[in-house]
Amino acid sequence: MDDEHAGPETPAPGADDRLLAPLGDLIRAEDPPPAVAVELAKQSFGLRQVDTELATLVADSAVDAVGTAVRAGERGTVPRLLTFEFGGPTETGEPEAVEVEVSRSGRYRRLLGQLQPPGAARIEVRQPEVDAVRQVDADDQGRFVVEAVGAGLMRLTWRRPGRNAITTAWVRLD
Amino acid sequence: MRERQTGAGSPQPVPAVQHDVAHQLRLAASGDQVAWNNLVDRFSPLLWSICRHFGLSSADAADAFQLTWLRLLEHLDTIHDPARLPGWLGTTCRRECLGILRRNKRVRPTDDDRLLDRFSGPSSSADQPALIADRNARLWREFGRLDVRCQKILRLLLIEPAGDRVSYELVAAALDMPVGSLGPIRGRCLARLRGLLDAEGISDALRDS
Repeated sequence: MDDEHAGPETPAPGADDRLLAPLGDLIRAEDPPPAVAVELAKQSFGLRQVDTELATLVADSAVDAVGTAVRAGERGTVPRLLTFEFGGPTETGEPEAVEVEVSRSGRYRRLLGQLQPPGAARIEVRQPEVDAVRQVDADDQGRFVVEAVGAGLMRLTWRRPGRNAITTAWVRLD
Repeated sequence: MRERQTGAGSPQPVPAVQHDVAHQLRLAASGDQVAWNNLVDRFSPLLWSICRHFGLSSADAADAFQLTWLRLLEHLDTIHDPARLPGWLGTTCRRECLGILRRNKRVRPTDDDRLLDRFSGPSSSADQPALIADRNARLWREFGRLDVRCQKILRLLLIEPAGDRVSYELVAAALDMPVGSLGPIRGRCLARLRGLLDAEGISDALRDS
């Protein structure tokens, strides 16, 4: 403790400690971060992708441009449209983007994707709580479907032949 | 390892804890899992409490918490000034919490139970000696009588035993408040708590232990 540096707002040295130590203990014990959440955060280090470019979320139909919630339609029936974009520099000079329509199907989500510019690619789906990386192929028009994705956090990576892989920012499917 | 600063005229040193955070950040960026774990251990209690501060349920708090760490993972290479990490974490956590709150508002009606489960009072500590347990129970009861604003801010500012600059910067960013305002607010809230304890004659019990 830096008693010498006690500021004007600090009361008599020491008097605070007898209050702060037990109160701090009580506060820390009341609602600590769940061990499983901390463990997941540590394990997520394995999800780091250093060899890919990052595409950021540039549009989300659930949230309008100024960040306020769009009025609800029928609950869960309107698909959500997400757009991720990597502004470059890319090999072709064109921005790389992916549009993903998220719809509900029971307890799972279904992703309908479109790469821009269109073209064949390998798509990878990562989720922190799923160990395996799922892979699907986008056709030569850049279209792809991923069935039965669990709710929660998710990111997509696309790899086109001869180009750098691009990965989306993490997004929460709810 | 940490040297005690005595001379008032000595140059402002980089606090040891801040230096350590910068070091761990650099190691993590170079692929060191242990350094990453250290960062997670260091900041998880604060980040979790911030998620709860915004009134998120356990499940939503877990997502906002996780998203904050994943964002850091995305940006490990781009945080060039490690001293800004606490502020960056606080701002990011705030953004993720507000994002989830906005989505919830749209998808389902406000659920006040989620807020209430946060303020349901102290959990009992079974393994404490009776005298300390009794003292803590009384301390906690008086804490619960503070106005909610004081309770909420003290919950964040007393998480860290040392209450160092790093945690204050993180909390200030998360609450979108000037870091210099936190010390005085903390002081006022603690003064109120001491007033309550004095009125109940509990201060003596604290002094004796």
